Amino acid sequence: MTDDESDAIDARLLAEGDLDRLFARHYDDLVSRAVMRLRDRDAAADAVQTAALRVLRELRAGRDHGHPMRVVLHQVLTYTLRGWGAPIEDPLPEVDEPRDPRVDDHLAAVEHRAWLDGVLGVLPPRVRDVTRMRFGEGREIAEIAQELGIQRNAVDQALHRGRAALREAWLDA
Amino acid sequence: MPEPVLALLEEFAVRRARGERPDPLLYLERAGDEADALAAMIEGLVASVPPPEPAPEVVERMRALVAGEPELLGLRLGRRMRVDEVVAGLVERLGLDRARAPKVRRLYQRLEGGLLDASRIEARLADALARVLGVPRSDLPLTGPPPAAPAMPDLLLARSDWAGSEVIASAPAPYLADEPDEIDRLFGAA
Repeated sequence: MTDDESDAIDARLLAEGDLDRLFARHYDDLVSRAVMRLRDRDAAADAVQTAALRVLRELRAGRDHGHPMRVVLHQVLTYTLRGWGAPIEDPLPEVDEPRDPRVDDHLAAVEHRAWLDGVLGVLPPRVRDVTRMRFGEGREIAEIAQELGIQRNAVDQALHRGRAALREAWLDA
Repeated sequence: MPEPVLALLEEFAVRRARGERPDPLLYLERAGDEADALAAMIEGLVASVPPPEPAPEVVERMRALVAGEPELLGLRLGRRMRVDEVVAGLVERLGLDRARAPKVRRLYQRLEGGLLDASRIEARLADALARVLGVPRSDLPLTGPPPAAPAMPDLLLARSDWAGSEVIASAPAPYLADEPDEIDRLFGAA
């Protein structure tokens, strides 16, 4: 699945009002992020529930965030985590508060850089394909080689570059 | 000996993509001194790579969340308090042993999630809860008919299973196996 396809699924679920499935698509990833910050499963689940309820209230109040829901959910979680164990610092206005244009700018910036396509964008097509098939689809090396019609060591070489790119994007940034 | 962090990231990514719901905390333990580096990369991964199909139990849990926000939960969230803050306040005000906080936490979460009959909790728990949440006792949403059956899945207690069997296998025995004690009586769960 490509990034755009995933966002399109979210948009369809939102349009259909299928919020159960929309939130479920991202729940594990949101909890994983919260666990990485809090190092505590229960606290992480609390934080995700808090963030999800906030987004839910906003959607029910008719708020149009104007950005893909995965960006909104991850950003609301980020703001929620800032308040976890620390003074509340919450730059995302609630739905009944005045809209802050800086929030839209920030969400747009997050949207631009967040997807894997952006992370892998500068790499050769084969490296992008191999890295996406491995990290995004969980495919075996032999399977990737067969599907792309290349040698196994070519997959390994492409993955080596892909891993380095991911490391640079997610760790060294 | 910590495992190479990129190998751990890749293993996590592959299992996540296959819908296996790997527990990230276990991966951090395997990373040893490189845990912070792995945490940063797992954050990047889950925020960047399209999610796999959600597990049915997660869909059920979100259905419960969307279907109705329990009033006590809404009250706590409205006051921007964490569960641990409420639990710590209850333990202190009720004069309980701090070592029993995990059990208080589990029962509070059942109460908050609408899974315990709120009309059965002891008055001193209700008083303590009102003080901790900073509301008059009469404003605590503890009335209403007892649930004949859980109106929603065990949303909060089930949270620890979100990462699948890895966590379940290492989890302590369920509290329901314990003998009823003062804490059970406080929550009307004895």
